[in-house]
Amino acid sequence: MYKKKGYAAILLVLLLPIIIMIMGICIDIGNMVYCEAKLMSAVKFAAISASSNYTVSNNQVIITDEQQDFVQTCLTKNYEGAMSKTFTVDAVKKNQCTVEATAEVKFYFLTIIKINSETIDQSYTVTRNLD
Amino acid sequence: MKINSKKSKGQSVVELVITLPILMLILCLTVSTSLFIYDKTVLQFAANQGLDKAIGLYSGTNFTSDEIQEITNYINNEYSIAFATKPDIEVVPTYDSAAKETTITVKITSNFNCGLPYLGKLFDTTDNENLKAENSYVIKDN
Repeated sequence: MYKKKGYAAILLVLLLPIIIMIMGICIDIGNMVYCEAKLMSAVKFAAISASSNYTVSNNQVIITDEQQDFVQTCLTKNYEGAMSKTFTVDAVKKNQCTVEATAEVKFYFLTIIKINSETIDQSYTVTRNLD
Repeated sequence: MKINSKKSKGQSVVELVITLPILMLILCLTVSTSLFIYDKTVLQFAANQGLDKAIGLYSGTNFTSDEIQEITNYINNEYSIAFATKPDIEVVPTYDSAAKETTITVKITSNFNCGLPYLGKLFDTTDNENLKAENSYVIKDN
């Protein structure tokens, strides 16, 4: 019986880092899911905004730098850290525009095991009725 | 043996008294932080759907009070299970004459009842009592 003295305290000290680590992973992943939802909204509304902001001339889709900047501005309005990767319009149909964006999610607890951040990507395609 | 058993019982109680508050604290922190992230995500989706509705109703001028009420009711009905209390919903169209663009913004603010001081700092939310979600849609003038 004497040997069991302080057993729970030792067990707690040994398990505490594991418990905190599991808790931290859950919080960090939860935060990443939230960031993905936020990026998804940002990309969606950037794509909707951008879909009415490109020109078709001589049967060719023209996307200027100004229009690319506009996509970035729309993204930043909804997610400050979001970066536009591509803004493309289907060359054949000319009414399908796709915006792809990326963002970096910083971790708080996973930095303990040297995972500082994770890059998330989202894309959204809008089909416009040209008639 | 009787004395040993009593001593052992006493030891267990002391160990429980020391470890239980620590475990409870960890549990409360985890639950509180998880609820905070969950609420933020729900508000984000609500703002997303609210703006969808607002874009559908937008006719190029300011929203009428009936339209704003329709958007508010839509968000409240869609997320009635997820919202503990009814959130404040704002639908704001703004026109920037310099950039020649109209921005429709849906802002949702809700109280967070399990707030802990560290949460605001951790997730860059200045107002710890309130959770906010905001989505904007930009329309360029042709």
